Amino acid sequence: MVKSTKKTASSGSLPLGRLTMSALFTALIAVLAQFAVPLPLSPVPFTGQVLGIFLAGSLLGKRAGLLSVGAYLLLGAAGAPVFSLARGGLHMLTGPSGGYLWGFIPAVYILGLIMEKISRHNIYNNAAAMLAALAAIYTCGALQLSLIMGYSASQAILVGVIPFLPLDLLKAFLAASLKLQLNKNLRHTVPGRQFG
Amino acid sequence: MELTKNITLGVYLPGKSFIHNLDPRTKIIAATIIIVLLLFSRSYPAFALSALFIAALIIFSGLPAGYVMRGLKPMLPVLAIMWVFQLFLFKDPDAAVYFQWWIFEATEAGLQMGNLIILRVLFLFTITTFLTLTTSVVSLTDGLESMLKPLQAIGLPSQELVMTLVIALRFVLILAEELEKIIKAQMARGVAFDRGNFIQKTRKIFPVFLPLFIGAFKRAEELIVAMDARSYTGGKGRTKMKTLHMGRVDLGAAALMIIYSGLLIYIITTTEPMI
Repeated sequence: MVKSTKKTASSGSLPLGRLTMSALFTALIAVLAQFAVPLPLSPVPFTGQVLGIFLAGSLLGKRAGLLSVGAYLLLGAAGAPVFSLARGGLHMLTGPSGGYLWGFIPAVYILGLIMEKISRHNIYNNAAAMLAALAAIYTCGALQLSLIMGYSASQAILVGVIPFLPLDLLKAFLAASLKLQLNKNLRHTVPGRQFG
Repeated sequence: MELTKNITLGVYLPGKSFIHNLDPRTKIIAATIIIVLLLFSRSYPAFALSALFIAALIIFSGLPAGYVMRGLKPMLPVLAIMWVFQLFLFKDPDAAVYFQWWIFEATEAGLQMGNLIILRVLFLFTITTFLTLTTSVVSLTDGLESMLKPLQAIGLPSQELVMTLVIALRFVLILAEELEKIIKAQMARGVAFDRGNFIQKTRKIFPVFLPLFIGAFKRAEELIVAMDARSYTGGKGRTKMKTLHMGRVDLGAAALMIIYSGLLIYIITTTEPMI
């Protein structure tokens, strides 16, 4: 199987193996998104989605990661209940909290890019890369929040960034340590496939 | 699992109306135009026109209006909070003050801003819910794929994107089930998920997520072998079972959209904005 995926890679399109792995991560993000707690006073819920984004970006790399997140957003936009709290539909992307969703696209790309540059992986540089991705999500999220709700920049940050910061920082470290652990385990489970 | 149980909002309701029969691309473009115009609407007459238009669409579609509106219900508490937030936080020194308490003051400008945002969000939700109610997931993704095709020139793999999507759709349910099984299995082995302090609770994610991921990778590996054995070679040369086709109804819809947009733009430019 490893041989044949190499063959399709030469034709310019993404090899079948990467494609299927992207699909798997799309599904994983969708499942992780169901761990969500709605917060009072803010239109943005606290979710496990970001954990999925962190893992997709760091395990798949930038290209397959983008594919995976793109498919996730498309799936949600088309109405499948893959967003947090089993919601779905285009209004999730156009609504006040939509920026946090399409912000996943630059986030996963940035994360994949940095991960490919890191030569010696450890929990600190991995977590730092995830924080860079988090910054991209926050920027897009706060931007759309202020655009739709008419908030000023400081109001948008107050409602859309600050409440999530402590837990998201924790999630970055959690994702980094999960990723390193998975890298170790996957070498035995699916030999021949490269991650990270 | 939440995912498999409560699926209400944004689910396709089959029907035979002309809106159901429109090409998905027409519907996506029309919805985009309506959304953009809504973002520019700042006066009550403009919203009144959009309300009439959307109401007409719902009547034409033959969907029960109550069902369309039910999707808004979970939004209401959030909207109420947003309204209060705007009322007290929107500052305008020139506006009339209605009510003052400590550092909070409710001004006319705040009230109008609150109303504007509630109206905007309500309309955004209604129109996009309406789109997904009248279009099946398959035709929506087909429509999106064909609309994304021009982007292939700049390297966007539209075909791969849709293939990923279709595979992922299958994986979601499998993973949701597997997650439930793993949680139960670990509980049976004595993992107490609700005990301990915050750090201890967080650490309990590992005995759930590691088996979940590793199991998932094994499944994906099996699928790769199966697809490979059936000679799947990617998007090139694949044909569709149903091809998209724009017809007379789509022309009619375009005409309708032009009339609506023209009228709305006229109203937006001539009426007094609320704020």
